[in-house]
Amino acid sequence: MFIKENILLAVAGLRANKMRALLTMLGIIIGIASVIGVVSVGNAMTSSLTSSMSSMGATNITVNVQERSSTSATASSGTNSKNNTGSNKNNGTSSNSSNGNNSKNGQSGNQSAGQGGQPAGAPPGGGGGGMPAGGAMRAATGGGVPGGFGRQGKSSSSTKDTDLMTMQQINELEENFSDKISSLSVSENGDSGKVKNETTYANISTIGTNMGYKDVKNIEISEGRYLLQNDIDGAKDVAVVSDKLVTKIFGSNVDPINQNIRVYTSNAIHTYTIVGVYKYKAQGGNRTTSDENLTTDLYVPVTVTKKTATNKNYQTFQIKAKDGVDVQTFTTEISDYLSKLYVKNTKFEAQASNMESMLESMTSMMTTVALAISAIAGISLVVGGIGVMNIMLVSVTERTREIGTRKALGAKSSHIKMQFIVESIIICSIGGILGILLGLGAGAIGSKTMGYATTVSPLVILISFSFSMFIGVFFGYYPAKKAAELDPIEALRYE
Amino acid sequence: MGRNIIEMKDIKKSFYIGTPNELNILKGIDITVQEGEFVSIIGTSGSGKSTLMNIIGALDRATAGKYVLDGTNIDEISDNGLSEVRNKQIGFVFQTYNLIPRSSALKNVELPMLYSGMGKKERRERAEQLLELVGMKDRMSHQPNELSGGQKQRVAIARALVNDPSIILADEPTGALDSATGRMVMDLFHKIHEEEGKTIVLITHNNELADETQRIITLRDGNIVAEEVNKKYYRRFREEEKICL
Repeated sequence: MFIKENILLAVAGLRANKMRALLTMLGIIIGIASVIGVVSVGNAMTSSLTSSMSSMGATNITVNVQERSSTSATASSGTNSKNNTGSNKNNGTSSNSSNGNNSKNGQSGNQSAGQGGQPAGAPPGGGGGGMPAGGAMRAATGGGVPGGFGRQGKSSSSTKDTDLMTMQQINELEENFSDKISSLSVSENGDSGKVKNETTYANISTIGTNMGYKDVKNIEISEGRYLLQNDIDGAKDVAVVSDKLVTKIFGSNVDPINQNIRVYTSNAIHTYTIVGVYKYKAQGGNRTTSDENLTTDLYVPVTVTKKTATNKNYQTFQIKAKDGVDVQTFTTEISDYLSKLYVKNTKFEAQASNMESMLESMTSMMTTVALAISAIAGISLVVGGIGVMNIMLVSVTERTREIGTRKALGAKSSHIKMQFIVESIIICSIGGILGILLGLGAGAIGSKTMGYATTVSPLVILISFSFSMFIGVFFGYYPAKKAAELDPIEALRYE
Repeated sequence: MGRNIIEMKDIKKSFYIGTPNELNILKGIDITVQEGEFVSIIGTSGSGKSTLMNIIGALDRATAGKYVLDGTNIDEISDNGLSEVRNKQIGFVFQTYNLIPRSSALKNVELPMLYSGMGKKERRERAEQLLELVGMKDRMSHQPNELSGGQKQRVAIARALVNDPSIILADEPTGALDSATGRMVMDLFHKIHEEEGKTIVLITHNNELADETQRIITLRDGNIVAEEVNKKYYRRFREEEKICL
C-alpha cells in the first residue's frame, strides 16, 4: 500500500522536475546502454564467428613451417617473416572457397599490411600473378590478399626449399598417425585469372590440391567427381569448378563434365578438363558480391601448380582428425613429432595448431574486451549512482518542510526512509529501462552494420535492470536515512 | 465534558548550550485541558510558547515533568510511539499550512489515514466527508499551488480532523492570512468546536484571537503568568444563541 503511494508520489515528483530527473538518470542510462550494447554486439560477433569457424572445420589441424623466433637476425626481418607465415596460413589453408575466415584472417592480413606492408606487399616474385578483378575484389573483402599473392615469393626470400617439408615427410607423418588422421590436405595456390568463352568470362583463382583437400575443406561435389590420386600423380590438367562458374560459362543446359576450359592469367593460358563441379559456398561475414564479379576456386592437382611454384616443398598443410580423436592432444602429438623432424634446423621450426585453440583464444579475447567495456560502463554506473545520490540529497533538503509535516502527521522514520528509497529506485529503474532500450537499439544497429544477426540476451537485460535497481537502493539509502533522521521540529521550522 | 485531555505537571525544558550555561525555556508548566475545551496559549516571542506547543504536540519531549495526553503517558513512549500519538491523537494546523506540494487536497487529507494504515476506500470516504465539512469538497482534486491561503488552511484543518484526534493543535492558524480570511478560519474553528465537540488548543500572540476562546493561558519567560476563563467567549456564545433563537 505504501509502496504504491510512494511510487505515485515519486513519479509525480519526477514529472515536476523532468529535466533534472533526466540529467540525473543520464549516468545510469549511459552505463546500462553501453553494457547492453557491448554485450549484444559481442554476442552477435561471437556466435557469427563460431558458426563460420566451425563450418570451415574447427577441428582441423594446421601445420606451419615458420622461422624460429629466437633466430631472427633483425627485428625487421622477424616481423617480416611473421607476416609471411601469417599470410601463408591464410592462403595455404583457406585462400578461397573457405573464406569464412576472412573476417578473422582479414585482421591478421590487415595487420601485416600495416606493419610490414612494404616488404610483404612488394616481394621479388610476389604479385606476379597479376591483379585481376578477382584479386582486387578479394583485396577489398579480405585485406589479407597482398601478402597472399606474394606468398611464395616472400617465402623464398627467407625460406629455402630445404627448410620446408617434402611430400615424403608429409606422407611419413600421415603414415605415422594413420590411426588418427582422417584426411590430410596440401595445397599450392596458382594464379588467378579468368575463364573465358566467346561472350563472357568468370573470375577464378587456381588452387592446386590433393585428394584430402576435399574432406578437410568440406567441399561438396554436385556433379562428376573430385580429383583422384591418379590425377595428382600424373599432374593431369583436370579441374573441379564451381557451379557458379558452370552456370556462367556453360549455361544451365550443358553438361560441364569433360568440357575444356581455358584459364587466362596475366602471363599464360592454361587449358583444363572439367571432371567435377562443387557447390559454391558463400563467403562468411554476410558480404555478398554480385555474381558478375564473383571469384570462385578452380581446384586442380597440386602437382600442376607446383610446376610453376618457387618452392617445390610445402610450408603448410592441414590435417583433419578422425572422429573421436581429441584434437588438442593430437595437435600436441603432431607438434612433438615435427619438432623432432626440425631439431637440426636452427632457423626454422614446424608447428601444429588448430582452430579450436584459435576459437578459444578468440572467445576469451572477446570476453576480455566485453569485460573491459563493462568495467568502464560499471564506472559510469557508479558515477551515475553518485549523481542519483546527489540529487536525492538535494531533494531531501528541498523537502525538509514536507518531511517535517509528514512526521507531524504521524509518519514513522521507516515511512520516510521508504519514501525516499522508493523514489531513488524509481529514478534508477526508469534510467535502467531507458538505458536498456537505448542499448538494444545501439546493439541492433551495431550488429547490423557489422553484418551479424542481432542477439538479445534476456538474462543480461534482467541483470542490468536489477543492477540499476540495486544502484537505486545503494545510493538512495544514505539520503533516505538522512531524511528519516531529521528532527521534526527543525524540519518544520526549516525555511 | 470533564475528562482531562491534557495533563501537564511541572513541565521543564532546558537546552544545554555548554555547561554551565543552561538555557531554561520552560520553567515548570502546569496545564490541564478538559475534553471539548477551546483554550488559547498566548505569549510574546521568546516566551516559550513554541516549545510548549512542540511538547503538547508530541514533537518533542520535556526535560522534566509529567505529561499525560488522553490517558497516554508521553514521557514513557518510544519515538515510533510518539509518531503514533501524533498520528492518532493530535491534529496539527500550522501557520504556513504545510500541505504536501504536488498532492491534491484529497491526498493531503488522506495522508494521516495512510500512516495509520486505513483502507483505501475508507480513506477516501472520510477525506471527502471532512472536505465537505470545511467547504472544500468542490476543490478536492486541486493541488496546493492552485488554492488560496484560506482554502489551504481549510484543507489543513480537514487534514487535522481526519483521524478524529483528541486535540486540535493550532499554531497561529491565521497568522499568514488577511483579516477576512482569518475570520473565516476562526469561524471554522468555532464550528468544529461547537458542532463536532473538538478540543482545540490555539497558540497565538494575538490577544484578539485569544479573546475568542474559552480560556486564555498567558506565558512569559517560561512561566504561566495568567490563566483565566474568558468571559467574553461566553458572552459571544450567548449572543449567538440569542440570534439563533
